[in-house]
Amino acid sequence: MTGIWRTNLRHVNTISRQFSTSGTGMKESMTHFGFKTVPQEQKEQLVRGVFSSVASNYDIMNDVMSMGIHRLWKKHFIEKLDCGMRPNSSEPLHFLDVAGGTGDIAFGLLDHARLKYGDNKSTMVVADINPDMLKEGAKRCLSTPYANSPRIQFLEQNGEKMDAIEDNSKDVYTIAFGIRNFTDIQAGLNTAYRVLKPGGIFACLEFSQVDNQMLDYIYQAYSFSLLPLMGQLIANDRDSYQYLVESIRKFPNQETFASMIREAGFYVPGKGYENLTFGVAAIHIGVKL
Amino acid sequence: MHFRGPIGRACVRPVFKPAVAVRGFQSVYHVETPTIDESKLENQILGRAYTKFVPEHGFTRQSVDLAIADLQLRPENLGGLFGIGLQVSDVVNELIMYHLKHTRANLSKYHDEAGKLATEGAKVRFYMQKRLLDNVPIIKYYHQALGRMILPTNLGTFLTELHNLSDDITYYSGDQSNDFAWYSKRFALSGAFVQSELFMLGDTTPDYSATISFMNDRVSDIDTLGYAYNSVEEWAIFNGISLVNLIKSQLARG
Ligand SMILES: C[S@@+](CC[C@H](N)C(=O)[O-])C[C@H]1O[C@@H](n2cnc3c(N)ncnc32)[C@H](O)[C@@H]1O
Repeated sequence: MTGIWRTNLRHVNTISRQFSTSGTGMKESMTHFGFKTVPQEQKEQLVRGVFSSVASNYDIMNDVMSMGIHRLWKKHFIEKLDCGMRPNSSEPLHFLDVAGGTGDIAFGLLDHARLKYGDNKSTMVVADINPDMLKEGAKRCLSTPYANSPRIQFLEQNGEKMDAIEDNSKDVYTIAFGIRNFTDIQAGLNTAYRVLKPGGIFACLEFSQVDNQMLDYIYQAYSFSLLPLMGQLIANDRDSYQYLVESIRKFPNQETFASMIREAGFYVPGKGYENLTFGVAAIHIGVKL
Repeated sequence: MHFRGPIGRACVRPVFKPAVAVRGFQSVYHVETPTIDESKLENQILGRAYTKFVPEHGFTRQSVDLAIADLQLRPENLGGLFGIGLQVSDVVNELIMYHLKHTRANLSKYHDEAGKLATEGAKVRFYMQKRLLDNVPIIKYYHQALGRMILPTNLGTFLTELHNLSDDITYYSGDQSNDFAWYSKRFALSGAFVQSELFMLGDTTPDYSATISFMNDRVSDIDTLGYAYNSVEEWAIFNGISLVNLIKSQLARG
């Protein structure tokens, strides 16, 4: 499935450059791959390639991108969502963590529910487009309390469609640092709305736009110059890192993203998001009513 | 400030002027503070909690969770609604704020009745009475709420709401002052209101008649004595210091 794209982005570069210079017949369905313009269907392949090529160095990558803070953000995200089946309840919660990759968020959510509410029943589906990331997640799962448990399931799925997930079937939809990689973000949000039950919650943790000019300048300078270099040193994969950085800059700002969540049909409370670390990342939520 | 003489000297002036016969509610100083938007999910939850569950379960997270379930939703997955969307650090504080805003908004129901009263002072007492009696359904748990309001992290928000109440009451009662008396009158009323609420916590008379006459006395004091506040006292009231001490001492006595 992943074919030649799996190995390295250097291939991809040559090909996308060909596309952008050859011109004819490509105009209708071009999309962004970082700052490069590529045909729609291809982005899915390209993104798959990026994450395959960084799968093994995945944590280091996230550490570099967030200056190490992503762990705290994830912890905050999970605590603020504060989900868990209550002892007096008879109906488990059904979680879906999309772009769940290595399972960080999934294990964290289940831990929170178990430790805070004594929830040993709720279920978790980890969905990701990339089988390598899922393999990594399944491997890590073995060293958690959920090893070999029917409560957790790893599924290869494109978050824009989620063919394997029924309508109105989930209570909690989470996605962390994943949605900016979608070719069609709105389709991803619409799908989230589709799979959630009425009363279900959508929550997204994603890199966002820094809300202070000076900080923004520093962060951009950091991410555009230092980061790809570190990427090269760490992963020997400069192009993948470059893509990741650029995809962050391309992602809609907080307000725009909140209005896309509304557009999908969600009720968005208040301004609908919380900035983390001056907006380097943000959490957005929506409730399906 | 130069009208007031040397710092520390009490400034006494008559307070409530006779209400002007025909006038709408208008004042350059009065800011209409937004009331509760009941179409919003979070306010429906708080409203349901407040009317249906607080009288029995107090100002607690449990009341909010029961309300969510009562609206056919699940508190088990909706933590993010308050935590992230609204960035509320504590949903119980929100519930208390709901009580304050809801009861303040309720005052607008009484304009017709108040209109029949002759003086500004009578109107103030009338609105104060209505507002105090709105505490009745939750009075059993009101000490919980007061205890939270005076926490340093919460004080600012709640004081603002208290002063909004005094502002609304004086404004609805026909106050037209536009000098420093504007502030003084409101501080004096805020003080009288909190004292009356504290009195109410221990009041066992039917219909809270003792509280009402206590309040009437406090308001009449302001009326006849004028604002016997010097600037230091005024500053203390504005910053809630004297109110906090008052509430603390009352709550400590049980
Ligand atoms: C940066 S990782 C985030 C992983 C994990 N959620 C975390 O926070 O640690 C991004 C993930 O998004 C996945 N992804 C990208 N496009 C996707 C799509 N269209 N559908 C599902 N997953 C996708 C990638 O395979 C990758 O695992």
